Amino acid sequence: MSATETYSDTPIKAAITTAAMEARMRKRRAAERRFRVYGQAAVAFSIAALAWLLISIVSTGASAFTQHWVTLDLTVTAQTNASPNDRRRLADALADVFGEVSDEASRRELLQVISASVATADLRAAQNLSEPLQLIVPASDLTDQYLKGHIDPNLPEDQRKITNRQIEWIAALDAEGRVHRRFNRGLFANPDSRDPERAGLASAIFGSIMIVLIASALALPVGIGAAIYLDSFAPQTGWGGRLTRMLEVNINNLAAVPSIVFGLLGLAVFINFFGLPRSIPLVGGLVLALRMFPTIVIASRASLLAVPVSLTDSALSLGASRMQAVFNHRVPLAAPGMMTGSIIGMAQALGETAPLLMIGMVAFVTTVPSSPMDPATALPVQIFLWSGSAEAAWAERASAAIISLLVVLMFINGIAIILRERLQRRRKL
Amino acid sequence: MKTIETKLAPKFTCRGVSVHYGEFRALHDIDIDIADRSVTALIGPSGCGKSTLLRVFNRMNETIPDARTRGTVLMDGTDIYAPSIDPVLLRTRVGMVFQKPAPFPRSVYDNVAYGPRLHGLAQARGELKRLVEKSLRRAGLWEEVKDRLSLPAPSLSIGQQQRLVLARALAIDPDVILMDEPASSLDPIATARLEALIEELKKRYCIIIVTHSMAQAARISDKTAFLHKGALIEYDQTDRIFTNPSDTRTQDYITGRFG
Amino acid sequence: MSDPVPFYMLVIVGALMVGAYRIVYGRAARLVVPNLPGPSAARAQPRHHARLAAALTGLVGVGIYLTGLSLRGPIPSAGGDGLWLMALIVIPALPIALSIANVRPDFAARTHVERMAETGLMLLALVALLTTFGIVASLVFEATLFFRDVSIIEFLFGTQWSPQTPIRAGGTGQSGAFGAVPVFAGTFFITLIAMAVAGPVGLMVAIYLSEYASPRTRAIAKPAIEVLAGIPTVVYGFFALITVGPAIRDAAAWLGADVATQSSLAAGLVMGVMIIPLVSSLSDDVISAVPQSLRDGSTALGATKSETLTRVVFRSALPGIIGAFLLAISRAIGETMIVVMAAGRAANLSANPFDAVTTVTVQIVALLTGDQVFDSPRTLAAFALGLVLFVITLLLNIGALAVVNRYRIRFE
Repeated sequence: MSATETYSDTPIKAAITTAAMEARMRKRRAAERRFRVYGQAAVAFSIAALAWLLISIVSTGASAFTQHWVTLDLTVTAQTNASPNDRRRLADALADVFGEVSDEASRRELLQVISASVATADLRAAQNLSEPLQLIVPASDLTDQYLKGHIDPNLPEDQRKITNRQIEWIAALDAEGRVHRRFNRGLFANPDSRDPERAGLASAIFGSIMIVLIASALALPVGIGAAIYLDSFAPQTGWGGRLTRMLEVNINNLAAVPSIVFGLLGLAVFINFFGLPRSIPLVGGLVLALRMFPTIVIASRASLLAVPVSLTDSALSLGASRMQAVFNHRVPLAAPGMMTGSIIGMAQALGETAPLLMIGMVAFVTTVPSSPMDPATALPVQIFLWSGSAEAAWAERASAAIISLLVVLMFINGIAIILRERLQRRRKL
Repeated sequence: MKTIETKLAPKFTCRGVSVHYGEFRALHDIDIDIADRSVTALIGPSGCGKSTLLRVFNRMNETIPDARTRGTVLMDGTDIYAPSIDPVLLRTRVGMVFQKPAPFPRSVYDNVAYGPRLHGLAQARGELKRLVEKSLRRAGLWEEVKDRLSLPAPSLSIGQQQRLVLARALAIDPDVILMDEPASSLDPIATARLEALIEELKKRYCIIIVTHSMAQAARISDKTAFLHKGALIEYDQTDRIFTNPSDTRTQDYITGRFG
Repeated sequence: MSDPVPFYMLVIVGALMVGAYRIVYGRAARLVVPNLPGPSAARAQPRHHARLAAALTGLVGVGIYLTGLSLRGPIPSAGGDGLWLMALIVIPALPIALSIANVRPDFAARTHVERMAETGLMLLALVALLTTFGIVASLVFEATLFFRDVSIIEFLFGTQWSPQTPIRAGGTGQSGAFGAVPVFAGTFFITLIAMAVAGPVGLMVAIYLSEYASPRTRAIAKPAIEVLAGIPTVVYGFFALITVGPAIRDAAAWLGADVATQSSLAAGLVMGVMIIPLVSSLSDDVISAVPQSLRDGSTALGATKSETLTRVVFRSALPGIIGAFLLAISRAIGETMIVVMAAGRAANLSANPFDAVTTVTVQIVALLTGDQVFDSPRTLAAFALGLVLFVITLLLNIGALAVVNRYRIRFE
């Protein structure tokens, strides 16, 4: 700062800035606006993607929560009684309703209108065929899709799956008041089936419940215990400390290992090495327990870290043992966080698909599992299986399954949020 | 000091300035004139609003969500809160140095060149170099860093960092320098250097300084304003404030009875 | 006894533990503790004695259960489990008796039970190590078997991938071709598309929501982004398959191109959307970790908000943002359901986003679902791919953690 340095003496300025700066500023303001627009565009894109996803799934799936049923009155004629098998007898009975079906091809066409497999089963179950019989059976998936407006009758006949005659028959049934639309109980009560109109989520729901329960029963205590150990008991110095840090890095890495790798682990260890059967919820639960474990350790550690050390210290100064200080003072305060982390881990486990594919939970299961050792599927796997079929009825059901899964997940996450709020409020009192 | 004051119109004229943070009233109805080419100290207990008042002069309060400023603030007769005034450009005229030096995590050179680059103050490369050197010289840092201009700025000592951020502010050629407790994180030696520098800089700039240290205010400022609970209690020549304050609260504060 | 894993035995162990607790608690409660001077082991309370007894019993019981399980194997032998059951009921009497004998004023039950608990907790923490070991061991073991049939060189650098060649067809070359380059290329390509979406969008979402958005916008947008993170991947896969794929096909048809429903573009776009919340939440963390003083410094120099963000905040947060991107890439590479449902299975070497390509995870699923003979090169190839997947994601995670940690140290 030499005295010779010149200093332009312009203390009083009418405006704050010069014209050149103002010109430059216009560009900078434009850049600022652009940046802001990029941000808005990014947020809008994300929300639009979410909206598109939800709308597309709800619009495909909402109609699957109802289903059309057809009421048939079967009178037993000499002809029907003489039929060699149930299916034939049913077709004949149906033909009687319409009185115009004679040849085999037409019979088959007619049987496609209702769920023939359900109807034959009902027919077989009927004790006395000499009396008139009323059957209330699901419409076939084709009829159902047509009645829900998913098949366009204005298309040329060879471009749609339903024939002109079938459309007439359906109209006739409808005109007689024989077609009803009801809540689709079967979607939740039935196990999987080859016929879309009969297929339900029962096996998947029970499978998922067992898998998540087993996984949580294993991963929660182990994960929370591990977190408590790392937080309060693990050595921090010397070789032990080095081991502790290694363990922590290891857990962080484990949390980011792709879930399909856990499936490979389950396949190699539980199925190939220990010889447990495939497709059972027990193995699914074990695999997902390993998957959940690091998530729960990390969430629990974070909530333990948020508890001030001074609390444990003051407990120690009052003569509590380390174990007592930690379990009586540190853990209860971290509990809300642990609980939230655990519930979120459970929600993740419920939506996990890839590891379950590896341990053979893609089997076609038509029974409802009664124990963790019975073959089962899981909700997300069922969605995967149904979405693989081309017929619109399957996509509709898969969407409905997704809606159910999302509702359950929303419910679980809602519980996590409420629980966190509650416990936090209690802590403040 | 009085001669300067009579010669020049005030740099800033504040009338009825209030600042609210949400429901909280941080400043209430402040009237104050700040003289150019002098050092004005703002003192008062923690939370009295002195930093808020300082940030009124370069509209930094607007970066805090929920902050609202009312009243008129004239700089050289221009209302700086007028809709036509861009706060970004205002800040090129009103530089600021903060309590904790926060050099950007890049080189010493790039730190000083940051402002000129933003505002396009130097077109040719040599010009920018000269500007950086000039600013570093004015901040009294040139001799210490001229050989390590490409070193990361956070590697300087705290005292050097504080002078670096001062140089950074000087590089955009402001009229006013606001200082928010600039010496609070410095050791006594670095503080002494900074105070000597302020003494030098006030020949060219209007300097407003917030300080916790009454000794510092007494040493370097020409006028001192005492704020308490968001109100301006007393504003006078520094020697008058420290020797013969007219308000008992000022008396109590400078004698250490509260604060 | 047809139960392969007799859970009821664990119930018996539980009952024994409760019994042990009750008995020992009763005896310890009646124990007359002399008032000893000074800090003394006798401060152990009845519940400590009881807990110790229950813990010992449980330890012995579970030990017998696991021994029995491993001796017999999960598939029951014809002999039945009578002996095993008897051992399970009789042997735990020993620790119970020992605990009863230990109910003395001078026995430091609390110290013992706490030491046991601490060891137990340590073992729980070691489960993490065990899991990692299990993953590495099973992948390496099966992959080694694979590399006996197929050379590593061919696997890593071969460009022909067609493992679906019939196995049973009499003798000649019982497996197909296992050159995984098309598989790696497909994975890379889809990851690239996904990151091209998730990188900029996620970053801008983080910045906009934390720096620009009004509280009301934030209150709507933040939960929406979180919902995006909570949607299971199979749902994204379904969305890509049923909605996005056909939409791309229709758009291409409208432009006059003939495109299949399954394409790397559909899978990549949807995967990008899935990863947005990951990128935005990690970026949000690192961006908000940049000290306010740096922003103030820049603002006070007359920088606009976006100039402060791009020139100061970004630069400071860059290592953290790189770390976030690495984690996102790792997630994209390991993602399975979206690509299984929407990317295709044919191993094409193609950089056309409208072509179907295959990925590592798709091939693992393809090779391991359906009927299979274990130990055939087909199934073993899945483990070799799994090993590659594990190693790559592990390196990415380690890299990300290292970058993020270094960054954290710089600001603390």
